[in-house]
Amino acid sequence: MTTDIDPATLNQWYVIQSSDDLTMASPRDTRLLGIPVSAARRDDGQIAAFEMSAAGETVRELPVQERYGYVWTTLGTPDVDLFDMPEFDEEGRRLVVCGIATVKTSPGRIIENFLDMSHFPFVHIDVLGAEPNTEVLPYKARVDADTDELWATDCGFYQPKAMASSTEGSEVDYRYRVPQPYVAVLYKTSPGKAGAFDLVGILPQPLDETHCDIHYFMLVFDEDNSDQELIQFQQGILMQDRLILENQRPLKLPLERGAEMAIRADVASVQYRRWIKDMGVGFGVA
Amino acid sequence: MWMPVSGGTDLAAASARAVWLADQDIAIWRTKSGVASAWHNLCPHRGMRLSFGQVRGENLVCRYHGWAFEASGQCQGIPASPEMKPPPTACVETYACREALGLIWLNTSDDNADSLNALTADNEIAKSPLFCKSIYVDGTRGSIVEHLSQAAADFEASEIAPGLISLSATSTNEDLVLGVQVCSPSRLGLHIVVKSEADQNKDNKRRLQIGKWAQGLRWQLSNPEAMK
Repeated sequence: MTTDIDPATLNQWYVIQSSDDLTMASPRDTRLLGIPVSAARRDDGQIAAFEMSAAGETVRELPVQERYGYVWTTLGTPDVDLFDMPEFDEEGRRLVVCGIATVKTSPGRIIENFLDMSHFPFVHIDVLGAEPNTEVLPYKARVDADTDELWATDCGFYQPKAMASSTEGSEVDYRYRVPQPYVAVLYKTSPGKAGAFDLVGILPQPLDETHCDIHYFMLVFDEDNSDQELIQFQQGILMQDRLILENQRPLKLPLERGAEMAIRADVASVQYRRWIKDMGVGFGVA
Repeated sequence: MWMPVSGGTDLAAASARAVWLADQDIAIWRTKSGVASAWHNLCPHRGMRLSFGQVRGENLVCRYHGWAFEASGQCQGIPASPEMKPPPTACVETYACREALGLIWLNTSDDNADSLNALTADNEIAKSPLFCKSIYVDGTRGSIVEHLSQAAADFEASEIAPGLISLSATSTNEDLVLGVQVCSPSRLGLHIVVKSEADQNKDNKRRLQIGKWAQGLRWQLSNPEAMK
């Protein structure tokens, strides 16, 4: 029942499938926020999505939009348009849709892990980090008052192999954008184009409070690696995170101050928790 | 009260793993020098289960962010802030943990160490124990003695102390003790210990023999219909 879900969670747009993977031959029967949802591409190329009953009957048609290579829907009534990602219009970028990773945890834990640099040397050993380069230098994390988006900026970290195309270790500049609670995009120094940033995005679709299908993509300047090579690199990283994500307790993201200890390196996490708490998010949180 | 959670030799030096006691998720680990500890299986930082951690020397290092905890539970180092002295709040909840009768025991209430000594004091096997094998079966603490009597027909089963069952062979002079771990209200771990013969070859042989026998016992306890 959607009436059990808080408005802040309900009134968001969520990705339920990539545009390329929702073909006439392959509809998607899935769940969103615990509710059965079915989406299909019609003969005319348009997409229709429906809320379904537990018995498999159509309850109502849902709003749908296709943007950024993905199919978005909502169970509520969002009061703002889907956020802008101007990078999708930039010349020379390539969108690589990486697929879906099903992970048994809450969407909040997934976003928080994505915003976290301090785990790189321990979880993504010799790829995104390596001891003894473990220090997280001070960075900024704040909610932009005009757009109500969370940004973490001035982030930097030494990475042995920052991207699939990296040939050597480098100091990598990072920026994170969280335009809505369960969408996060990372901007990192592009090995393929000087002065530019490559994007990595994660779009967890909450199946219920503690299960997610993570849709993820890259938007890169890279003419050397095939899609398959880029996907394998990103997939490998996500599988390393999955071991962590499924073994945190509780699985729901604790929002109460002091529920878990935070240090300076966790300022993005602290801001994120405060932001979604103030918003009134009550789904998938503890 | 003191409860067994593992055979002592089933927790190697510089290793960690998870055990369950009354539905509580517990990390047990052993330092490089051999000291065993039992902790709440939760890093105070981001809730990572510490049983996934790595033992480095005398510390257990969390798999997620590398926070290093000493045996007391206190954090000794935070790699993301190497200059920072970890505050006293950076501390894991610990249980009292002891080794006796070839097993690792932990204390979930306020009992002192004496009650564990009393548990094993007059036991012949406790003087030189040989831990052989752990088996895990569905069952309850209240009915396990009776089930053991049926499953191990050649033995007499009796509870000699809370969490400790004696199995005595009726026709030979073979004696075993079983430490009973209540993983959950309906799931038990049985840790089987015999008297060591102080001869490594004989003990190895005995351990294999008991191990094989224990597999049969587990099958019988798991298939009560087959016993009739």
